[in-house]
Amino acid sequence: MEAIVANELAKIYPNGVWGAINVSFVTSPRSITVLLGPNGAGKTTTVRMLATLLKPTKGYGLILGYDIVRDVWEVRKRIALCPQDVSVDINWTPWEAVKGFLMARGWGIGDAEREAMRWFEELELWDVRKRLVAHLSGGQRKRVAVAMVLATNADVLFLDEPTSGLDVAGKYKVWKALRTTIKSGSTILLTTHDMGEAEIISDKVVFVSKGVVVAEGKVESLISKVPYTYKVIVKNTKNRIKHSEDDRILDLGDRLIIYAKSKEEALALASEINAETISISKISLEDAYLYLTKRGE
Amino acid sequence: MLLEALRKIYGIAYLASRWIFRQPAWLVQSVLRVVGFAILLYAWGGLEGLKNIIVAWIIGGLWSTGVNIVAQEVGWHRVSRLQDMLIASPIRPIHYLMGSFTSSLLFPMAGLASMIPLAFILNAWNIVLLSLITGIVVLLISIMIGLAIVMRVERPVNVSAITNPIAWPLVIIPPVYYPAWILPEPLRYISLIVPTSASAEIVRQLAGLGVSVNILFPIIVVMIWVLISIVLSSRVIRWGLE
Repeated sequence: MEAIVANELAKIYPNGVWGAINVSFVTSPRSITVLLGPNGAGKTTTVRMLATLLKPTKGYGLILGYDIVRDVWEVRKRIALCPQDVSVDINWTPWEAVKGFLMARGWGIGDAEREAMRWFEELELWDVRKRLVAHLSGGQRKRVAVAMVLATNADVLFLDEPTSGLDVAGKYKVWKALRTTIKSGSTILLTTHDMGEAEIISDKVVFVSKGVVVAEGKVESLISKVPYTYKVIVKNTKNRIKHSEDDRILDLGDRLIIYAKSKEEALALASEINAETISISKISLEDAYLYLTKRGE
Repeated sequence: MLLEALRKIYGIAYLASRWIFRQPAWLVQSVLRVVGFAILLYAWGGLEGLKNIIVAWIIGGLWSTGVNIVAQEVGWHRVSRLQDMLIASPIRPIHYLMGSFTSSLLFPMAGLASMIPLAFILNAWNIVLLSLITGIVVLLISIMIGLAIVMRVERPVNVSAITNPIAWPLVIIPPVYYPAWILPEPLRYISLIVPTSASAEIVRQLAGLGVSVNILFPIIVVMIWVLISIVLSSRVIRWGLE
C-alpha cells in the first residue's frame, strides 16, 4: 500500500485564488518524497491538505489508505507536521518543547523524555537542551521544531521547508536525521525549493509548478528526461548574442548556459559563439526542473 | 483512553503554562490587583464592600480568563503555527481547549488564593462557593466567545487589541464590583444584560447581598448568553480542514 496518495488535489479559495490546481502523486512507505518547486507553486497548500488542515476543493488524498476528509481522525493518529514558518515558543527550552509536544500527543512522561533525549543527540541539540529557545540561534530553533516532529515517530511526517534558513552544517544534521527516521519505518513528505537538497535526500521528487505536478520520479529518471547531458556556462560579455529561439541556450544576460549532448559538443558551441568558458559540468536536477517546466515558467 | 486524554490535556497545559512560570510577575500582578481592589472596596463600603470583592473577583477573573487569556494563548498558537502542529496530530479540540484553559487557570487561582484569608475573616465561604458555581457558566461563555474571535480574526497577533476591550470594560463598567441596586431602576435592567453583571447579580441575590431585580431576569440573561456563545462558536470554530 502507498503511504501517501494525492489524486488531482486542488484548493481554490472562495475569492478565486488557487493554492493548488491539480496535484497527483504517490509515495512508497519508508521513503522521502520531495515536493520541489518555486515559491507559490502550491507545495505548502498540498502539504496542508494532506495534513488535514485544508479541505481540498477537488480530488482526494489518502494517508495509509485513509481518506484525509472522511477518515480525518484515523489520518491524524498517523501523521505529524512541521509547518514552514513554525516558531518555537521562546519561553520553552528544547527539552520542554519536545517532551511537552509528545505528551500532548498522548505519550507518557518517561517515554517522552527518553525519545526527546534521543533526538537531541541525533540533531546535536544536547548541549542546549535546557537553554531557553530565546537564547538559541535561528538554526538551532529550526532544529528544535524538526526534533518535535521527528520524535513523534508518526507513520507519515510532513516537513514544509525544514531546512530553510539553515547553514550547510545544520542542513546536514537534519538530512542525516531524516534518513535515520525512514529506516525506523516513517514516510516523509518534504517540501523545498532547494534542488541540491532534493538531489541529496530524496527517494522520489515531485516537480510542482503553478499548482500542477509537471513531473515525478527518481532524481536520475527526471534528469534523463532532459535530452542533454552536459552544460557549459560561458561569459557573454559583449551581450550581443541573443539565443531565445534556441532551447539549448539559456540566456542570463552577461552569461549563457549552453546545454549539449556531449562535452565536446558544448565546447564547440561555446567556441562557435566566441565566448569565454566559466565551467563545464553534467546537468543536474535543477536543469531537469528548468527543462521540464519550460524554464520555470 | 481516559489516561491518554489526560496526558494530552496535561501536555497542552504543560506547554501553554511555561511562559507563566518563566514570568511569574504576571501572577504577582494578579494577586496585587485583588489586594488593591479589596482595600478600595473596604474604604468605600466597609465589610459589605469587601464581600463584593469576592463576587467581583471570581466572576470577573473567570470572564477575563476565557475571553482574554485563553483567547490570547490560542491566538499565539495560531501565529506561531503550533496550532497547525496540534491539528495534524491525534489531539482533539477538547484536549486542546482543556489544556489551554487549565494553564490559564493559574491567574484566577492566584487571585483566589489571595482571597482565602478574606473569606476566612468574613466567614464568606458561601459567597466563594456560589461565585465559583456561577463563574463556571461565565467561564464557558467567555471561552466560547474568546475562541470565536481568535479562531476567525485574520491577524491573531493583534488579538489582545480585540479581547482586552471586551474583557476589561465588561467587568469594570457594569455592576460587577458594585451591586446593581445602587443604580436607578431602568438602568438596572440595562446594566444586567451582559453576562458578567447578570452572573454577579445572581450570586449577590443568592448570598443575601441585596436584590436589584427579579432573579429570573439575570438567570434568563445568562441562559441567553450561553445559547448565543454556543451558536456563535459552533459556527466559526474549526479544527483544521478549512
